[in-house]
Amino acid sequence: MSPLQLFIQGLGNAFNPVAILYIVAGIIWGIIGGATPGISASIAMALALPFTFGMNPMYSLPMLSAIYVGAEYGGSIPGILIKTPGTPSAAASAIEGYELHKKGLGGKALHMSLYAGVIGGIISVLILIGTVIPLSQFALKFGPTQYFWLSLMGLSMVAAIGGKNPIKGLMAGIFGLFLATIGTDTFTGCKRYTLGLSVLSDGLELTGVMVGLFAMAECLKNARDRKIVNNAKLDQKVSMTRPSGKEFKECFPVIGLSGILGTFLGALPGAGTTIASWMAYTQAKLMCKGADKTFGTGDLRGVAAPESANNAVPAGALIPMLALGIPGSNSTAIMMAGFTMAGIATGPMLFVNRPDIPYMIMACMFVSQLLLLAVGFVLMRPFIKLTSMNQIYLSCGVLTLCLLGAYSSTNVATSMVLVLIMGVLGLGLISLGFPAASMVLGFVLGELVEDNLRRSLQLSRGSINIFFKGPMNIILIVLTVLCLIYPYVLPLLRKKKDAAKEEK
Amino acid sequence: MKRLMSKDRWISVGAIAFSAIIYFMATKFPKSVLDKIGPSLFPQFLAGIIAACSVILFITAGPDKRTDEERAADWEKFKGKDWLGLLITLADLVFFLFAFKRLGFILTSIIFTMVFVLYFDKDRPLKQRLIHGAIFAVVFTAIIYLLFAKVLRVLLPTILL
Repeated sequence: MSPLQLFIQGLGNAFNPVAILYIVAGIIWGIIGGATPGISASIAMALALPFTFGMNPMYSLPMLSAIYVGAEYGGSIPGILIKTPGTPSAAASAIEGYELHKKGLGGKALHMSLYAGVIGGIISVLILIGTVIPLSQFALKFGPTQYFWLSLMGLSMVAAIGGKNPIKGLMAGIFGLFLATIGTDTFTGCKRYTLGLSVLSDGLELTGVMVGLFAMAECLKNARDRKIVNNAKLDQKVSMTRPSGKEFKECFPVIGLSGILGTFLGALPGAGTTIASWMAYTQAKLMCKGADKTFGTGDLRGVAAPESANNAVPAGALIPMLALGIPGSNSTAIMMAGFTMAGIATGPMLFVNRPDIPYMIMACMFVSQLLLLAVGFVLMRPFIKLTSMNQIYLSCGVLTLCLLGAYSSTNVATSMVLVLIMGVLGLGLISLGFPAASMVLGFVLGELVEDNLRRSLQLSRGSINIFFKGPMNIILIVLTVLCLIYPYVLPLLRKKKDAAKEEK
Repeated sequence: MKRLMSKDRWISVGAIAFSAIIYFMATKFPKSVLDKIGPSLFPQFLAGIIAACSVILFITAGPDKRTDEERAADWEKFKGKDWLGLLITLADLVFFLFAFKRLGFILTSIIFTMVFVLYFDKDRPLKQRLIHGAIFAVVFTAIIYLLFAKVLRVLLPTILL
C-alpha cells in the first residue's frame, strides 16, 4: 500500500466511533491535566498509562497521543486566567494572556490560544507525515553501532538542553540505563541486581517507574514545598469574546511560523515545549510590527505564537520516536512505553512490519487536533472552572490514582510498592538537581542501548573498533560530543563576545 | 568561609561510591559460554561513565563559596519546607500499601483520604475539616471503586478484617 492509502486507512481507524470516544476522553483528560497546576502533560500521560494495559493498541495509542495534545493546550488556561501556568510551556503565553484577561479580554485570549494551538498542531502533523518516512528509510541503513551512538546522542542532548547542569543530566540518564539492567539478562538468563528478590527477576515495571518518577515524585515535592493548598481563585469573570477576523489575520503569520518552529524543536531531543514556546514568543516579539510597544501589555500575537509552537511539539516529537525509535522527551518516552506495553517496537522496522500503526498514529494526531477544537470550544467554560480546583483534593486523587493505576496493570500489590519507591527516589534525585526526564529516557532506552552494544561487540568478536568505523558512526560521535561540551563552551563564547563588545 | 566540600561535591562522592558498588556487584555475575561479552560488561561500562561524570562534577562544582549569611539563609529555606507534611504523606502512603490487602480498598482509601485532607486543609476549622474530609473521602472512594472495580474490572480487595 502507498503512504497515502495507509494514511487514509489510518483516518478510517481514527474516525471509528470507539476510537473517537477514546481520543475525546484523552483530550479531556489531557486538558484537565494541563489546566491543573502541578500536573504536566507527562504526569497526565503517566497516570493514564496503566489503563492502556491490555487495551487494543488501535485505541490506547491514539488516546495517549490525544492526552499529549490536550495537555499542551490545557496548560494555557490557568496561565491566562490566574497567571499560574498549568504546564511549564504555558508560561510564555501567560505573559500576554494574563494582561489581556486583566483588560477583560480573557475569553479572547483563550479562544486565540485554542485556534493557534490547533493550527500549529495541524502544521506539525503535516510536517510529521512528510518527514517521518524519508527519515525511517534512512534509518533502515543503521546497524547496531549506529543505534548505540544514536541512543547516547539522544541522552546527551536531553542532558545538555533539558537540565540546569548537563553533567547531572547525563548522570541521571546513565542511572536510568542502570535501572533498566535490573532483572534477568535476556542474553544469558543471569539475574542482575535483583538482591535475591524474585519480584525483581522480570525487571522494573515500566508503568511503575514512569508513574513513580513523574506523578508520585511531583506530589511528594508539592507536599514538601507547601504547594498542596487551596488554589488561587479567579479574580474576575471571564467574558467569552472571540478574536475578530482582523485580529486573526494579524496573528496568522506568527501562528504559521511558530508551528514550524515548534515542530522542529519538538523533533530535537531535549528541546521540548518550554523552549519551543519561549522561542516562538521571542521571535514573535522580534518580527511583529509595533511589538516593542504592545508586547507585555496584552498582545494577542504574544498568545498565538507560543501556543502554536507548544501544540506543534507533540507531533514533532513523534518524528524521532516513530522513525528512529528514540524518544526525545518525557512525554514521548511515555508514548513509547505505551507502544512497548502493546507489544509494538518503534523505529524504522515498524514502517516495514506494521506500517498501519505509524500511519494510524499520524491520522489520529490529525483528528485529535480537529477534536481539540471542538472539545475546547464546547467545554471551555467547565475547563475554566478547573483553575479554581482544590489542590488538596486533587493531590489526594493523584496519589490514589498512582497506586491503583500501577496495581490495576498487574493485580499485584508490589507494583504499588515500586511506585512509592520510585516516587521517593525521584523526589531525592530531583531535589539534588538530577532531571527526572533524563532518568526516564535512560530507562526506556536501556534495553536498546545494551542490546546494540552487545550485538556490535559480538559482531566484532569483542573489538571496540567497530564503534568508530564508518562516516555515520563518526558523525554521531561528533554530535554526541558536541552536545556534551556545548553547555560549557557557550558561556565562554558569550564572555568573549561581551568582552569584545566592551572593548569596542 | 570557603569550604572544600560543596553540595555537588558531596553528590559526586556519593555517586563514585554508588558506581563502585554496581561495578563490584557486576564482577560477581556468572560468565556464560553462550555469550562471550557477558552480563557484566554493560553495568561496568555504566559504572565507569558514572564515575567519570562524578569526577567532572567534583572538579566543576568547586568548593562551597557561600558566605555565612548565605548559608544561614539556605538553612532557613530548608527548615521552612513542610517536612512534616512530606512525612505524613509518606506514612499515609505506607499505610495504604500495608492496609490495602488487609482492610480492603474501601476502608483503606477512606482512612487514607481523611488523613491527607485533615492535615493539608489547614485553613478550615477542625470541625469543618472533618465534615469536608469525610464527605470527600466517601464520595471519592465510591467513584474510584466504581471506576476501577466495575468499569475497568480490576479485582480490588474487599476483605474487611
